[in-house]
Amino acid sequence: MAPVHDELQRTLNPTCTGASVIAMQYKTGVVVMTDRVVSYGKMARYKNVSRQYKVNDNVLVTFGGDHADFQWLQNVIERQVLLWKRFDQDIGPKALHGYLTSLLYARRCKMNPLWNTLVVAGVEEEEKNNKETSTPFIGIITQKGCAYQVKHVATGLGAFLLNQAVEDEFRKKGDELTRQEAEAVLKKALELTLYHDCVADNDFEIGRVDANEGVVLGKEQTIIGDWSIAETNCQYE
Amino acid sequence: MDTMREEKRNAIPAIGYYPQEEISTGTTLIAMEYNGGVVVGTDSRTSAGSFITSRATNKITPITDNLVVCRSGSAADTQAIADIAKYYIETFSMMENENVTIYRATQIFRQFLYNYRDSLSASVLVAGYDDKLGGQLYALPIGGFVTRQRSTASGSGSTFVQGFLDSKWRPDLTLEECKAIVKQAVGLAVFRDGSSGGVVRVATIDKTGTKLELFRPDKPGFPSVAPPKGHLSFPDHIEQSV
Repeated sequence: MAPVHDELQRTLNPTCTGASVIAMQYKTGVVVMTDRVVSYGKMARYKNVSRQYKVNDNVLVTFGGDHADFQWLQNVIERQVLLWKRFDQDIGPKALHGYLTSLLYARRCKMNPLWNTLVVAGVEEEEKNNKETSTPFIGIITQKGCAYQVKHVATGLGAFLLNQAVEDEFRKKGDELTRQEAEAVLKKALELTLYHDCVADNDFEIGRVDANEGVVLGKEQTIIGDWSIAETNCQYE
Repeated sequence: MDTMREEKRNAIPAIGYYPQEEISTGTTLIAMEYNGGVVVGTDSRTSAGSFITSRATNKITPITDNLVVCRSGSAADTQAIADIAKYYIETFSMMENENVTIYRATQIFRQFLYNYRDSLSASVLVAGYDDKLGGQLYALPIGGFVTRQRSTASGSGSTFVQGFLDSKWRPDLTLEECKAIVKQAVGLAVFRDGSSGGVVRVATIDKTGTKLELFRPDKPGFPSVAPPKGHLSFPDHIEQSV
């Protein structure tokens, strides 16, 4: 028998949501791009909101989906980081990815999911204090707790539109991509979401985690796209 | 089309919240009468749920040289109605050897929207100029109600700018003032409404005919909105970009 106040005990629908996340690995790190709008259904309700959370110098967590759930999760991650600090450890991206996977899966099993798709990006230090052995890491965790590691990823509607485009570019140079080339691919991908996703926005930020620089959060940028298509005859007859 | 059904709210985990909006129509249409004609402005986005199927649509459909119809709602329904109504209007004007008045053309649209109201999801703005009554704007929302208005907005984006339009309207606005208001209203609606976007198309219908203008976001002249600077997104002890 269902509990009396079912709605009070679980998230039934996301309300304030974030759209796509696009992330890509390059030679010495990872670049992640998100836009800066909170959507309320199909309305662009709150602007200038960042969806990228810097955990520590090696890990960046970004999300798509419900903002309220992520604000709760951000606090949980912060507590976990402090727990590790008590043992003098900096949590790495793989460890955080594993922790979040368990968390999201456990919530899903209780039929009270965190309505988020998380992308954990970072640089994994294989040997402590030896930058030569650092490897870039991108891990994705879906809402149901399905998690895997990737070299490039697009979430939300971006998954339908962009994965092929990003993969094509990635296959050309693979691990040898420079940061500028990776960012150029991400910008082209954002242009595509602008054209075809109702809840995408022009203002975006590209954050990165680099083996040499640590986490560098992005500055707000705008992209407009090419609208010369509108000059052609767009009447339906 | 079953309009007695409760509003469906589907949550699809991969895509997110996916409200099935049957009544609210994904578009922004703004129109204003002025002395000598009518100015209409629209966005250019056609969406299916969260996906934009066409980003540069032309929602201003010419019916005659002095009459346009702005379409919102189901794209297929409005295209079919516009085609059929255009046929009727052309036939009448040929048989009677004079132009059909805007009022009569509106009634032709209304016949279809009203008689087939349970099968259609169409809401239009009919705007035109004739010598009898000058510039006229008629709103035909879903269901087939007809009302002549001096200034009106239609579509899902209209809710965001109704207040703006109300505050800007004055009697005896000039053509340039009307165009500026209509353009700005579309820009404001596009800024907030996810179902509206793309380019802004503005048409002026007067005695000499219809003049269509295009404002692209990547060219100057686009009615962009400058949002205020943001605050911090996370608690202030977290490192974050400003």
